[in-house]
Amino acid sequence: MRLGRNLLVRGFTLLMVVVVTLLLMNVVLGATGFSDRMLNALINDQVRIYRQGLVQTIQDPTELQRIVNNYKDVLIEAYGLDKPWPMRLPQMIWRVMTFDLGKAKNAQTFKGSTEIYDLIAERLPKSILLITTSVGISALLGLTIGTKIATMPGSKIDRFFSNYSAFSYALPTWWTGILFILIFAQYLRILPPGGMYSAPPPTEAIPRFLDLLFHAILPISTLVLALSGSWIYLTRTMVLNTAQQDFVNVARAKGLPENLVMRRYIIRVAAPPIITNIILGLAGSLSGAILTETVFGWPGMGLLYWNAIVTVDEGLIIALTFVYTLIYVIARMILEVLYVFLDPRVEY
Amino acid sequence: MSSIVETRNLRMYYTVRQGLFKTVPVKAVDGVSMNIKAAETLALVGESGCGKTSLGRTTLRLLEPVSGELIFKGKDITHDSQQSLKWLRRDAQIIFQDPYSSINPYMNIHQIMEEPLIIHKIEDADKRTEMIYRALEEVRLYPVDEVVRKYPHMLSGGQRQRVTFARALLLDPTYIVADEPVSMIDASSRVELLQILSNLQKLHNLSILYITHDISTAKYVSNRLAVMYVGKMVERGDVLKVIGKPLHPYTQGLIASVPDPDPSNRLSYREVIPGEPPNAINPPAGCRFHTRCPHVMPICSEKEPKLIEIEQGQDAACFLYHKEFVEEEQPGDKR
Amino acid sequence: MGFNAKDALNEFWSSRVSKLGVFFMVTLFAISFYVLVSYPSNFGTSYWNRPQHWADYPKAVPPTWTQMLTSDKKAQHQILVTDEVYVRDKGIRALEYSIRFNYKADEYPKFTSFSLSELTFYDDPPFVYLTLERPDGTVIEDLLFHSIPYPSPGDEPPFVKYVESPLRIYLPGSSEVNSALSRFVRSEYELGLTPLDIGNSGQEQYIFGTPDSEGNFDQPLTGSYTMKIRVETFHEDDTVGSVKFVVGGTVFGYMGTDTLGRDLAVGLLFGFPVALFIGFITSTLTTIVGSVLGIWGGYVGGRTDDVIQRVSDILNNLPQLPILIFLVFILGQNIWNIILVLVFFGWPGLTILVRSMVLQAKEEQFIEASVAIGASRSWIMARHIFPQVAPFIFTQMIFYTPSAILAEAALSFLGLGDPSLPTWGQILERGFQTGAIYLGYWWWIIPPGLLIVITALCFVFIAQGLEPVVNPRLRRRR
Repeated sequence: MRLGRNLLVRGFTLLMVVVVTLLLMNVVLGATGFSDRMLNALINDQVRIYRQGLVQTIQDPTELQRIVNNYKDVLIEAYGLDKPWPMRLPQMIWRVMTFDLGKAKNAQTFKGSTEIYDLIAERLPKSILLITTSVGISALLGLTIGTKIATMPGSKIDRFFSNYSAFSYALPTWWTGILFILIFAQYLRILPPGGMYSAPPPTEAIPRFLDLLFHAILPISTLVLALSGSWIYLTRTMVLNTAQQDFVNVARAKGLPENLVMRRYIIRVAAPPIITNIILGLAGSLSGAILTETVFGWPGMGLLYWNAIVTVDEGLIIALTFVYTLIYVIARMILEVLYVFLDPRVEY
Repeated sequence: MSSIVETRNLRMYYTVRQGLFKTVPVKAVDGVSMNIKAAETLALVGESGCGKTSLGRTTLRLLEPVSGELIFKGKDITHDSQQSLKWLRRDAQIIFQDPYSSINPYMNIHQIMEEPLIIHKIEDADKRTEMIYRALEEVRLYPVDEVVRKYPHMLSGGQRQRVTFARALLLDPTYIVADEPVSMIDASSRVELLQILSNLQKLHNLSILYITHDISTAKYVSNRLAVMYVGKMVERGDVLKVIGKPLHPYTQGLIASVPDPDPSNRLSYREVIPGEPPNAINPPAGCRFHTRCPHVMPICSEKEPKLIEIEQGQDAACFLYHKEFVEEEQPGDKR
Repeated sequence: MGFNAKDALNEFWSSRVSKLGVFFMVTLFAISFYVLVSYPSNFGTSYWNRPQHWADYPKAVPPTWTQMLTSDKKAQHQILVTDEVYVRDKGIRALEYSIRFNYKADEYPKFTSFSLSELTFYDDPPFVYLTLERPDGTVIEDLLFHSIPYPSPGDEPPFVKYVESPLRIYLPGSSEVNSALSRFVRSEYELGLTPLDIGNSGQEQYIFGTPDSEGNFDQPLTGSYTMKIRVETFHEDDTVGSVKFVVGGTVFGYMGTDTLGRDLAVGLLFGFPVALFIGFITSTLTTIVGSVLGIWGGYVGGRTDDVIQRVSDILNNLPQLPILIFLVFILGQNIWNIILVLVFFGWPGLTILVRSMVLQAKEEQFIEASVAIGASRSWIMARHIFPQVAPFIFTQMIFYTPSAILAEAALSFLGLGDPSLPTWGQILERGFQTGAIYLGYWWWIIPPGLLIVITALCFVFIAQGLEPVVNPRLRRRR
């Protein structure tokens, strides 16, 4: 199937994206000596613990030192510090790709685990919740308002939204978030300044849900403000372009009712590129969520990433960068598959 | 007179993708041997897709031949590298069909005409200007100093085409390929352009390959006429002879299909060549015309006829004229 | 090129947004130019990031013009310096200084501080006494007493101190001042307030205020104050360079201050040329790399094109922010690293667009004509392909500038900015980290963000104005 072949090519490209990212990260880490330092610190940590454990049992200092040194050598060999960093690459890449991600320095899950894998498992759903809701609302706004104003080009509403989208392009999301907090949480005091639940969170289902909603309003509004601007404009442009094509005029000339023309001829045709952009945006806002979560203290992956930077937790940063890339790539892949179903013209 | 341009069994194929993994060759020029002498115009006629445009470009090495030989002024240039052919780019030129897209709309006439001179290292700006003015005068684009400052969209199609003529002449070439130079020009301006082309030829002793799908203009400018069909040359000879007494059935059909301006003949039956030309990926076996030929014989689907001299100054590739296969009919009887 | 350059200009100028954009742009450039001329290039490291430079400034106060929004008269910040010394030789030798100042406000100053610079002494270290004479005639004797520490053993006279950094005494931090004030209010107003009480309720009330009938110090004493500084020296050659008294205002400057006391107006101004610099360099570099690769790949085709395409496809699909963060984190927080990384991510987008335009452009017959006359590939790319895509590339360049500025601001906000080059994003980062939002320091939060938005907008406006010029379909007049 021709389609199959092309999807495979796309899939391969995206796989390359992941590999390139990993390669890039590891090369950078190796070339700057970072990974050497990291591994050294890790090894020294473990050696220290080992030594503390041994001190109880072994009295003779030289004997103790010998055993500890042995252990250190074993570790050095295990981590590959005795080899130059390019030789460590395959091992590192393999480890990350099999999700052997190690431990975080300063972060803990709710249950107290410091395994990065657990951390990500705990935080990721929260980020997804935030992002998908915001993207969903923005997409809805984009599609409805966009198509509506496409029917009245040049009107005041149309111009308003054109300016609105230009404005939202120039507006940094995170600043908008800060502004919202300042206005709604500080001055008006009607919404909470951050976090996902109140402390302590309510235990019953409905109040808990409402509490979540209460906390989610500001971050979601911030994201929606940023995303909807360009999507409204995009929808409007695409619908307008399609509406000007000859086949639409033919449909009207045939006497078809306007909303049928709208639905089947205009929207159906304009939909694929719009949806492409929306799904692209979804993948992109994953990264953008880092900023929003930081501002609002929303306990998702973005905040974890922020913590990792602030506490200089290299292992966590690498693991998270990798996971972000992976998620992004998966989202893109889903997009490619969906797109094939949406647009019969797809031929590559 | 020896030939300026000569091809021997020249083949030019280009590849096209079919389906997922297959690429197939399109046999645009499939074994053409011809020559053009000094100060001679050879008209090349045929339907769209017969390979005439490809042949023209291949003689300039703008398209690469896959086999056969190309000889220019006695020198075999079939395999020379593009780098070493810079001299060819001076000595052989091409005039295109579409005056609306063959000159750069972002440059004015002076800049357009200057380009070949700069590329071929005529350093002195004044000398360049002098050459440009002279060329424009030769194509009768007046007033010259106003024209050079104009941009293409300010000129008519006919004027633009004259600019391309002038540009082709700047480097004093020996050979020009004129690829349907008047096909996109209004009928009223065609004659004047063709006149300019003839004058230029006489003035500069040019050899011209005049490509067209319109036989009536061929008569006007050329000495000899060659007819192509699906990558092969099927008839060739003195222009008046070929038009007056076409030998190959395809040529006969072409000439018969030219509309007759005499109104009293408007109701007379005109023969139309039936069917569609076959595609050049998979041409028919034997003579390529046999699927549409009114005089088809059994041999025609088995062997390919060679292009040989049938009468004085006229060659044709048709088994009708190979004496072994002639039965009772004489050439041209059907008319 | 430019077969209708004049028309193009007219078209551009005809829309209101373009005029707005150009107006803003001109203002930005003017301000940046002013900053470049009047600020030192090491502003970041030598001034902005050195807390000592800002020690005399009030911390986290709003701008002076906020005064107009309330009926209260705010306390103006006053930094009073003098070196006019009166040497008293009779009896104990002393260097006496007198600083007169006016105080007019409905609220108390935020703090007071005293500094002394360039002290030279030969014998025992001097004592410093401060006495404040208030407008109502009351006098706070020995408001501050400080004995200069003895020199380290092994040092030889003359002992020179407080040259690089002055002696600075922050009055609210001094318990001795609290004691002095406690004594003062007891003797003057018969109020029994312990030094602890005074320290807890804020010294300034007692330094600058008088009690009402209930013993509340609500209203400051307005009028003329004189601060008398006496340095008792033990050698006739002892000298002092200058003395300073700071009355901490509750407002300061055009844009207020942050928690380090930094004048935000100064910091924000510095951000102008930096933002423009980052924006332009990044977008120029991105445009150059992107368009060269796009034109080359698109025209030359073949293997080169394949490689360029694959690479730009992969790079274009990388999630920007996490990798951006990662790279800056590892490579170092340096403006050139940031620019490099931004360019690294920026060029593929342009290459893909330019390439598709070139694919179409090279099918034009005049390209073939130029090949026929012997033009080399680079000639054709430069003379024939490039002019066709140039307007588009130029518009893209304008469009990239705000993206670069926004990206740098986002990085700075996350704490990854270049510390030697203060930018608006960094100012916001400091604000966020110190909790300015939750403390309501709006003057810290709103202006930098607003400046970012306005700067980005002006480029967006210009790009919007350019669109109909580049895309003839969108033209209004023709």
